[in-house]
Amino acid sequence: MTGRIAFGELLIPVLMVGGTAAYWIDAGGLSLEAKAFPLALTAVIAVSLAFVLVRLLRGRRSEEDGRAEGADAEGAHWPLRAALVLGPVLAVLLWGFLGATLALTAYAAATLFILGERKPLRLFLLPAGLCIALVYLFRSVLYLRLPEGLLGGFGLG
Amino acid sequence: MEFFSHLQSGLDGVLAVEPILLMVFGSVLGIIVGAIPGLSSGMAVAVLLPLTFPMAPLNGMIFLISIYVSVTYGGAITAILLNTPGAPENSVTALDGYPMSRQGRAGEAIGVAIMSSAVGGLLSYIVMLVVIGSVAAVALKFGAAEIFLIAIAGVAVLGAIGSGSPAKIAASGAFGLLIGTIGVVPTGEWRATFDNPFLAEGLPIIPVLIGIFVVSELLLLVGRDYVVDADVTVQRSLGSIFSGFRQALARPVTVLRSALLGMGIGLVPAAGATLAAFASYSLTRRLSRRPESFGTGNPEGIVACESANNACSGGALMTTLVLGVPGSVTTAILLGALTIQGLQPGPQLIYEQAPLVYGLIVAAIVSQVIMVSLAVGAGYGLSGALAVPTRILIPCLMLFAILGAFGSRNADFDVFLMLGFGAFGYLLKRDGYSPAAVVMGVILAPIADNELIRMFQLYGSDWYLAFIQRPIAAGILSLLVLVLLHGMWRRRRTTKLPAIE
Repeated sequence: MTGRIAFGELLIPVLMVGGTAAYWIDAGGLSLEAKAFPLALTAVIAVSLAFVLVRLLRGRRSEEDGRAEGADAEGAHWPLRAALVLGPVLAVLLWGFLGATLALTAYAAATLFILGERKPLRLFLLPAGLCIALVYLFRSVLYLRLPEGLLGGFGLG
Repeated sequence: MEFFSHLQSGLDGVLAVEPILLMVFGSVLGIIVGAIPGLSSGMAVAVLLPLTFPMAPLNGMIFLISIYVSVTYGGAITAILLNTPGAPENSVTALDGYPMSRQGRAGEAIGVAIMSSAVGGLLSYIVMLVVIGSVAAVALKFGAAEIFLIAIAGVAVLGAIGSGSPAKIAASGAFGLLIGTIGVVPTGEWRATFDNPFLAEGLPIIPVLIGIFVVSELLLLVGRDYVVDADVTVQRSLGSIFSGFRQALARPVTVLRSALLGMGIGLVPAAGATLAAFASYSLTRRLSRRPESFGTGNPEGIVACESANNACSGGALMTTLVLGVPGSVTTAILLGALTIQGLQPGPQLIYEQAPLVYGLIVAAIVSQVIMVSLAVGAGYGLSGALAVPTRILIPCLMLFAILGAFGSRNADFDVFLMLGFGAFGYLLKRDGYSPAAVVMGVILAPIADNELIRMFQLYGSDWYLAFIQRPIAAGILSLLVLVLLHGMWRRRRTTKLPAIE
């Protein structure tokens, strides 16, 4: 009757349940009008996830439950993926101090390096050139105000 | 007479230097993006959407429309040359296109694809030009109940017609709808904002789109050296491409039928071009005198899917503009773009912003012509050098994503939100859930929620009777139930389609 469930397969249900619970922590005191639609949606989420869990427990998996191409190799690559997501977090936290161009250049260079680029010129020129070009593009086209940080005085921040 | 004056205003808005340059630029970008497997039209439009902020509304939409309609051209080229569709809607093109390429008929196949796409797209947008006013007149009769049902249909249809577990798609769609209700309610209450001012207006759509469409795809690419593992040089000539043009035009019935089918499917919220391509291919094969020849290099297979997938964009755009409900996931992003420009899609838009709406349709028609010439050049000049190293592609696109997410409100919060949805989107794809359903839910939730609250205010405790007593609402509800039941019945049989984008 029961099948083994990999931890990864429970991640999305846990996230959805957690997200829904967090939603209701803040929204629980609303009027009935404001709660009606979310309540109905919560019921749908609960029933759908119940179906998913029952299928998982019964060990029934079909092509329908299939995973994305390349997903199975993820075990070896989760640190890279984590770095790809956490890297920009760090860059954004630091760009108030370093300036957007420097922070993003450092992020891009670090990403190139961890993804396997080893040629020194490419590691420096590509991120620097790309960042400067993109920051200039977004500033001049979108009038985007990016943090200038240390290099603000040189117009490069 | 009103139609001609709207048409004239549309032409005036489009036939100027800046819009034409934007169409050319957008078409070039779209073909390039379409030709790179792993980069979908949704991704292209999501990444480039922030560039339209400072543009005039019509110019911004022209730019995005040009990208949207040209991606399938580029995707067909790689489907034919490399057996790797550049976009999901080109999956079927590879079934006959790649065998033709291997038979030394790559140029011919590319020509067939280009001309079929162009004719399908032209027909679709010309029909749209003529009927959109009438459709808007009907849509004006829609009340809260009708709009609520159509908004829900936009998510529910994904579950009925998409591949993947229905329970997972339902959970994804419902979760997307739930988080889409975050923000200030029409009753004045703050719902699930945690007193965060950045959430007062609800989840900002740009970071969500970029996260789910761009960042999650990049996370999937990690671990692969190249997006395309091939290095193929294929012989083709301009003469063979033009020969392909003639082959497509020699099959007018298939082109017309496929275009009409594509357009019809595009009108259904969330159906998308992939479904249109598959449905058209299946129908054409069934009606063919030589069905066994499909999949071995029959040009008619390419005609069927390319005509349909491009025609679908016209239907999807009409649904988006007239009903305010996305006809596909990519048009959901266009819907977001309209909202950012301060425009509210819906039947009123057709009357209040007629120059913009008709200008958009005219731009889509003109783009088809521009794209034929660009696509011929791309088809001729493109070699197997589409093997883009992911170690270069990933950081480049991440930089675009970061700046694009930050650029919408100059808020660090939006970058964090984008990254969060990127990680979430990756996990959804990995485990067979539907990121498209989440995105549709986030976009449609405010519409559905507002209309439901309006129903409470209009009908009181008998609000549910509106779904039965109003004929249009009852009709939509019946259709929705039929589609869902058909989807369940179909699953019990066989058909598997690739995931709807």
